[in-house]
Amino acid sequence: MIKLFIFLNFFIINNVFAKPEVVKNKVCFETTFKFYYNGKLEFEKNQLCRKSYEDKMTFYISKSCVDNQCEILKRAKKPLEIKDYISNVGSPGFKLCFALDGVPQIFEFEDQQKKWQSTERCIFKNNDFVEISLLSREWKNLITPTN
Amino acid sequence: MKSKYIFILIIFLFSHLTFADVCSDLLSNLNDDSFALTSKKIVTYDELKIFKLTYLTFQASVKSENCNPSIFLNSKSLIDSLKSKRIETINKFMALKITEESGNDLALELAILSGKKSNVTYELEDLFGAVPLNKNDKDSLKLPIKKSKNDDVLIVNQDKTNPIRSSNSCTDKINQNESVNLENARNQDGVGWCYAYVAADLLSYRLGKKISAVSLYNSKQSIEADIQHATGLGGNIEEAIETYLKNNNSLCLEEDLPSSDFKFCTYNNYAKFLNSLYQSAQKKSLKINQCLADNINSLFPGIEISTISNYVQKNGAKDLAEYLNHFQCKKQSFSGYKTTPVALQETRNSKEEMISTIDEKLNKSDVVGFYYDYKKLDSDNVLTGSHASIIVGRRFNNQSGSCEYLVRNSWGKDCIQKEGTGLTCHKNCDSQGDNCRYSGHYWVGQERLKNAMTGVAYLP
Repeated sequence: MIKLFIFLNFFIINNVFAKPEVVKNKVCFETTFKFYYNGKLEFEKNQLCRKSYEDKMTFYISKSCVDNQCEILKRAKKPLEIKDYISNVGSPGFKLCFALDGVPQIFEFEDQQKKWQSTERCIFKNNDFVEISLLSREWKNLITPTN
Repeated sequence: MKSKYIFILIIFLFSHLTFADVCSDLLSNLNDDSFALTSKKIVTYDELKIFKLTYLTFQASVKSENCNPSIFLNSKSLIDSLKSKRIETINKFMALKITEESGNDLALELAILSGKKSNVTYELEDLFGAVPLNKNDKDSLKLPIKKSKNDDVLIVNQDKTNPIRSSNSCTDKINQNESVNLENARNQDGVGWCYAYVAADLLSYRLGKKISAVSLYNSKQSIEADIQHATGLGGNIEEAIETYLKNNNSLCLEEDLPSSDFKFCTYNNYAKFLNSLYQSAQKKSLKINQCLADNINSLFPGIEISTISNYVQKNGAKDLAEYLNHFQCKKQSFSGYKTTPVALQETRNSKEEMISTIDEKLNKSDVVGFYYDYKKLDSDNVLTGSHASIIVGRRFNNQSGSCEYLVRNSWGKDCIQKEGTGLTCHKNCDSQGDNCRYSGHYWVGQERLKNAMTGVAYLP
């Protein structure tokens, strides 16, 4: 009888105070990148990793950036002035990528559901890359646009 | 032996307490849900209909859990508070000469809530029916006003000054097709031709085939002059369409003349690459290397380098990009297509007219281009940042009580907006609501939109 009580209470306590499931925040997979080159559709095999956040947003990064191991994700964030960040010329995300010493690029890749996705990445030294939308998310509140 | 009984007693009490918590949790959840409504300035009829389901579920759960009946007494004070808020809301609406909300006659509802009218079918009877009003509520009641003849229903915005359309006319809608959809926002990549990207999207949506945005360039100066200056002359959506159709009597497809997704052999953006091409061409001879050839092919796929070299030898840099664009668009599509875009501008049209036009087009499953001061929309400062985008959807935000519009931008799939009241980035999520991705679209509240908007343009 006592054992039953103890078991039941153990069961209840474990269910009431159970920790939420830890979000799986990285998945890497070999995929195909697609882009137009010399007027022809070109394909390239590459590793791509998915980084997910608790608010359910997902971004794609290079394998070298997993666990914030690459320089751009380790870099200390500080206020950033970007000339004409929001102006009638060009994409702000591309300007942010430049300001962080990266090179922006538009590309397509095949996701794990075998569906093609088009996106933009910012490429850094050693071929580290992160999606520009991830950079914008992390830096946008630190940007001061200047004219 | 004695300690054994004490242990059993402790375990029993603990178990009992754990189960008793179910009742207090039910009340606590109801408390949270009702507070979410009473803490708002306006409690709409639709919100109450949703809350009614929560309340009925609460009642059923309380009964099935055999909770102490005192829990009902506690819940009554919550419902009283909600009822007061509803009466307050109705009075606000009626002061603005609003007589109906979601098909509900407000004067009649007020009479029911004040106990002046009974034996009338009232959808929220289960919620408010058995709960008496307190004296203060009755004192706050005002006489109903004459019913408006205007069918268009209005409710007050949170600032209580500007009337906006209610959820009645702000039905949820997202208009998209295979050419213009939530997964294929364009990227104007280093050029200031937002108007051309909007023009291309309007045509693409109408015709179901992606039209080249850069083919619609039309800023009344040469491309060479335009891209040299960060603050180019800009352009006009309707003129871009009209002029192109007038000159060509057909349209150029994106697959013939690409406007984004460029792959350069070394980094370049569209404007920078064209600038460097002009620099090289000014001497009437191009130093062709593999990288330059690759980059040219990226912008002008399939074009022979000899064709460009010949042109440059003869004309230098003059109208080089225009020539290359024209060359790429030799294979024209939609021959004979005619349309005369319509434009409304703030100099001659009111913001209300513009919003009505947008609503009307969305209701007809169409999309609408609009001009705006981006900085007024995103950061409320007074600097100008002229921009154009396209509105593809609408929704009613129950939290803010305002209508929001879905804007398709041409800055890629990024989300640079400083999200907050009346401005949120749209996300594409999977069927489970996970793995969300920014889509290059954002939701903007009607008031913000009106404040920033300077004109609209659409295809009739």
